Amino acid sequence: MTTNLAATLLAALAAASAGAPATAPSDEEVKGQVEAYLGSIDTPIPAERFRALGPRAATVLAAVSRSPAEFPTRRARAVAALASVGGGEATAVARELALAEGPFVVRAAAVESLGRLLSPAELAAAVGPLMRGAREARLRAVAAETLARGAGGDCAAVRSQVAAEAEAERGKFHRALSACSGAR
Amino acid sequence: MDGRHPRGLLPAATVLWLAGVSACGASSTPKAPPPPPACTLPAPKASALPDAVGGFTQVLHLGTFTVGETATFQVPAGVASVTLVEQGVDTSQAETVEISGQSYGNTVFPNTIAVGGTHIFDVYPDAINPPADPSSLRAYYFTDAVWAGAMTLPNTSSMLASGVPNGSWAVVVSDFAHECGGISNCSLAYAYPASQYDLTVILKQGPAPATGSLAVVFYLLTTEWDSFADPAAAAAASPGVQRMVASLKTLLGRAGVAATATFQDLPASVKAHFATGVNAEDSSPCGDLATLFQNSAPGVTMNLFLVDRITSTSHQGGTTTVGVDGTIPGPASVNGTVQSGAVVSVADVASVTGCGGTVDPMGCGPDEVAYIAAHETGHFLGLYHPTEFDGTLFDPLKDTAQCPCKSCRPAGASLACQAPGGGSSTNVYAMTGRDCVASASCGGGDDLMFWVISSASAGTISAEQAQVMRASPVVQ
Repeated sequence: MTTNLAATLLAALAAASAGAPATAPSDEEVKGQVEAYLGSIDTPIPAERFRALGPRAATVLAAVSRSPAEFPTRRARAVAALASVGGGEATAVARELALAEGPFVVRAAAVESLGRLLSPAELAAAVGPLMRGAREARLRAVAAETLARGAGGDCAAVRSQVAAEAEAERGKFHRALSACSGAR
Repeated sequence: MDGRHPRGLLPAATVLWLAGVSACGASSTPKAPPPPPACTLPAPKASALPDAVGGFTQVLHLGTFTVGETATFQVPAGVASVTLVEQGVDTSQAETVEISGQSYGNTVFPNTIAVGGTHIFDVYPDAINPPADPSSLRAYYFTDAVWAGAMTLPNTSSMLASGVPNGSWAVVVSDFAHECGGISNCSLAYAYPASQYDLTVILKQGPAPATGSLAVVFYLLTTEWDSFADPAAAAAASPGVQRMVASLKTLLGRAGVAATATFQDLPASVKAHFATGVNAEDSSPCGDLATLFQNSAPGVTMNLFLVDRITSTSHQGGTTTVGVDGTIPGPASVNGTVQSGAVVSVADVASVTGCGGTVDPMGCGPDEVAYIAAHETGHFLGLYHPTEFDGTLFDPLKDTAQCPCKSCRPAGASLACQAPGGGSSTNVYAMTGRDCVASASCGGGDDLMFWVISSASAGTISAEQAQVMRASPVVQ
């Protein structure tokens, strides 16, 4: 039994250390894999899997993110993945979706994506206005959480916003405040 | 996952456990007592089923057992199913174990199950190192289950064929903290006391039913209908939700399960707490899912929490999920626990433009939500993915089509197949729906429990999957 166990361990280690594929995936393979990832029901797909598909995944993800014909959850997942894959369009797409009126899940994912794409100063400039002015309190709360979790955590602004919120809405900001508590 | 680990009785630690290099903790320096839990952990809850019906005792309250102890009970002949529900008792017991520096939930599980002295389940290897095709096992258990867990048998082809064995059952109660000494590089952060679990056994009277009913309660965490005086009534009257419910009934009906649906709004304080999303990856008993599931009211119900947004922390930048189940199976008929339900994203329910005459989870938003709801219900009732995403692990049922990566990956694909029993390489091929309806030997992409929704998704439920679903005590 010990031999079998050791073999299993070695197989696992070999798999875990596998490098990039010998040949680059074709466009069709990239699209197929991205579509599968975006269609996952309850299997989380780590960002690394998208990155492993290479920059061409960004083209597919940007198209899904922007398409109003796609389901909101697919668009939200696509913009989140796009932020990890990167590329020239990632920031533009995230900005566009965060600011435009649209489904909450899409805007929230876009705001969080900006948190991974922008510098602290850029983030404050892009997301700060959303925290202060978005129509939906929950989107303001997502923006606050993103600012709180960002590098340097703009917690003074977050606390100021929470103080300005109506009493009934303040509970929605508890995660932002918790992030600030952890940071201070 | 299916839940939080798709096939996860501590999957990443499995290999280390099997390697069995060293015992842990035994010679380490004395540890500090554990800190209090981060939340108030729920006390054990009771099954909503009556203890007896017509002289048939269906709920056995076995009491509290310390890990390592054996619980015994009698199962009469002809029983359709046996369900074990284990719930944590001592709030100071371990919530996590540390393995090679990584924290894992302290999953509860039966170490062994014996009937008349013959083992029908042994966590080593049935759950820790199961064969890729576990359909020949008598019993199967592979899930995250911290603080509360359940196991309903039969859940494999083998026991579906042979029937539930009658006689004297003996279950050794255990969890990862108790087994830590046998896991390489395993340690406990504090001097935890030995865990204690309350054990309830639910017997379903035979013969195995050909049909059944399922009372689905949709709990509204979504704020979509909050502008109405009665959000639950408004949700129920919404055309998108009505279509979703109709499609859910269609899908579950294929298993011989007739679903009914009711809607229950959640308190404003709960909605505010989860306003920015439900973190689906935290399987701790104080995490979002555990907190949410405790809102399920007592009853023999399938509790589906409709949420606007599912989030994660470690997977930011990857994709989060659109559904998640507490455990596989769920603690059927025992509501109010940290595992008593499933979460379903309802964000797409208003996307009705593509809705036609048939259930179409790719084109019709309500149908997609119904598909997710039916899939998570399948997990709660005991089903696994027929083929996991990497095509190397399969469910314990023979009549669900498999889609092995090594034979079903497209010939020209550059991404390699995951090594069997391997870790979690990012550069491996993921089996798509299209790959898995390609031939008689590459199937399952159409199955309700396939890991992905695609153009191949048809909501297929096999005969054995239907048997497993109907074996759950929550199906009446």
